[in-house]
Amino acid sequence: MADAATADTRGRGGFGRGRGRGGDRGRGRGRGRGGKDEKETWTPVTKLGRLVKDRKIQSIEQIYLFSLPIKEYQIVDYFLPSLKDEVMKIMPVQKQTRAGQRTRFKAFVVIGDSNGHVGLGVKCSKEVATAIRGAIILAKLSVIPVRRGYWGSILNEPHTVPCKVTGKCGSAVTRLVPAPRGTGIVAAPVPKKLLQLAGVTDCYTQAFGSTRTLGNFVKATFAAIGNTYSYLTPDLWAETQFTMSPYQQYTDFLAKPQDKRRA
Amino acid sequence: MADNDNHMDQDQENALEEAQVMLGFAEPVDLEEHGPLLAEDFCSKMGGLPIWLNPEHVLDTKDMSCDQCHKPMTFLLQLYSPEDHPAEAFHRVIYVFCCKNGACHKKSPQGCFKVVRSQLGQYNPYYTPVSKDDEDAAEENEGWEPLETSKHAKTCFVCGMYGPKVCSRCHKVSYCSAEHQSIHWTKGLHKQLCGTQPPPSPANLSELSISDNKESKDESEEEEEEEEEYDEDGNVIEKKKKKKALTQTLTKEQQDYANKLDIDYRLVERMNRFPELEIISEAEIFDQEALEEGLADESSGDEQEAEEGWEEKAAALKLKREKKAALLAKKNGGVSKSLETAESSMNALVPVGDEVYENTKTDIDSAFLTFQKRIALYPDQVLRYARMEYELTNPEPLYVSDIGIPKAGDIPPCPDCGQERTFEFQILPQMLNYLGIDHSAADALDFGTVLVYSCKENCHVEGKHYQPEVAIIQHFSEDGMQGGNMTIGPNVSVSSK
Repeated sequence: MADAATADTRGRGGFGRGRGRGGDRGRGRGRGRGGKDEKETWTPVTKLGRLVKDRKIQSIEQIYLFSLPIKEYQIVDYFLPSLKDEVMKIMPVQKQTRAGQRTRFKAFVVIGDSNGHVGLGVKCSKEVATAIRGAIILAKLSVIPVRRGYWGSILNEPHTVPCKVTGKCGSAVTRLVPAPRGTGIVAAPVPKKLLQLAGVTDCYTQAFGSTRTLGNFVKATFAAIGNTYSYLTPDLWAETQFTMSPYQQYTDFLAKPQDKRRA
Repeated sequence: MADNDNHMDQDQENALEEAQVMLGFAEPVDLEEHGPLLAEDFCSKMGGLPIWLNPEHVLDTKDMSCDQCHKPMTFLLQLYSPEDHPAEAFHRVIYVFCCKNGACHKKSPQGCFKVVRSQLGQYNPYYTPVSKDDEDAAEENEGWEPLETSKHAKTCFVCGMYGPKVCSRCHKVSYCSAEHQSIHWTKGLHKQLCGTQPPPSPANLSELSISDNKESKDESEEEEEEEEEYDEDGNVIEKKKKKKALTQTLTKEQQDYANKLDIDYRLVERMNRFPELEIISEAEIFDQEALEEGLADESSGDEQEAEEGWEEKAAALKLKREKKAALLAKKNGGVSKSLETAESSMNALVPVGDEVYENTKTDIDSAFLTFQKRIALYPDQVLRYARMEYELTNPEPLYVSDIGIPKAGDIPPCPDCGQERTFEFQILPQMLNYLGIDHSAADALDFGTVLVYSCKENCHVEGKHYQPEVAIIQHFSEDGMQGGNMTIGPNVSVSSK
């Protein structure tokens, strides 16, 4: 590669373009390790990433509680190692150009742990594999908690959506309705897959609009699932005791004057 | 550069315009191999105490105090980045200081990072003109006398800047202010160690373990003899002396002091300095085309879903179009019109309806995605240096978000020569992992990236040893993944459906 050639002729290492002095150490020697570093170690970039790597945050629900933006997918990987992904559709899309048509592939990936977390990722790329890889990362970044409730008696584990919720995208509207235990998921294959990965066991669905557009349909279902935690049900009427955000846990302590802290 | 031209392909001629970026990685100082970092090594490092290029004139704390809290700033990193023009910039170091208190950064991020440039010509009273490794070193260095070390400026034990004040008891340790003196007295255990054998210069003994005393007992006598042989060569003897000071056997009293020294330096380090690491450089090698293809993934929404069996149809259509275009071209002599007609005929084949228009835009900020893609090749890089070639244009900085991108007017020109300041290097947030700060504190230091701009001409002013440069801080955006045009929010109409 020509780029590599540039690096070689100039000589290894060093900052700047002047001749300068070598010194006993050699100005800017190359790295001791050979080539690529280990891929497993993750160097966090954002503050949230650093807090997660230092194990200052115990669960992903703490991040959801304060609506902190998750920018690094490794954070989700750390908390939810058992996420399963499913490619819903690979769709070729074309763009008109003067030189003909440019075809790219759009991948829809749904990811979930079948226990209250789902994510949806959409990525377009010239190659199928790249699109799928990118969509999986975007799906991890968009993982959202799912609230489950009961249809009738409050026994055992929650199995269905807590109330009727609806989600809309484009012209596609999906409505989720609570169902009794043992019903299973009554839905088209697309929302059924999403609900299974979310961990919802029983659900009735109603779909409106153009459901042939898979992109809008799956986004509408995802929106409906996301709405389960935005709906204010009567059991949430009690006043919430606010806890401190992970960014602020020590503010009060540090605000105290030095002497009181020692005591 | 002639070799490079031969290697260039036709496709990669565009790559000539932009030079490669040099990446910096933080690595621990290799003490057994090379010993502690010295001024003669002309190295780049982060944390610890600054190693001054000009040992006679060092920075004063009044020039390097935080705008918010007015305390002396902590040394963050220094880069040895020599230039060929002008001749006074033969040796050139950029020092970056920052305020350790994150609260100051939150109030006003721009005033809490300060950058200065220090440069020396090839013939100066501090370093041999030609490196000892070169063949003609002996001839070139003839007649050159180094400045006596007694004339070097006294540096503060805690922060490394100019230290005019001295400990009133032992008169051996210097400080820049009463505050640093009290820090060293209490937390630095100088209260217990004052009056005992004075410690060697703190710049050379940052994180040494002095536990090998017993082993080197036999060697110490031999080393003493060896030392005398090198008396003439001023530089070598200094280094060896300091090295020897570590491994020299000590009496019990001195050994206890040495163990305490360990604690002494480490305490001071934890309080006021960042852990010392060396910055090693490596060129960034990446596939420009693959990167651009990846970046262009965010489509503009004017794409249409292809129908079934699109591959064969597309090929057939292409042939048809080309024939048509060729015919039209012969008639008209213009190419553009024919293409337009060909395209409009193509449109008719695509199914009509609202399912055609698909919004493929993702709502996370694309600038951050670009940033992530670029650093994914070398995830633990801490620095990106852009000024690597003279003929080629320098690459643009890698921004972390769309907000806070500096415009041309935001960067003030050099106050000494009036020339514009251009981008030199940027500090990446991965560096925060190496600084040993407690991230859970609300006041922890945090930034997205620090862009350093310096004078394009590396102007030299007689008598002014440290020229200020500009640092622009950019933070990450607060956006996360939203749903696009999904409505994730409270349920609006319940009863109707």
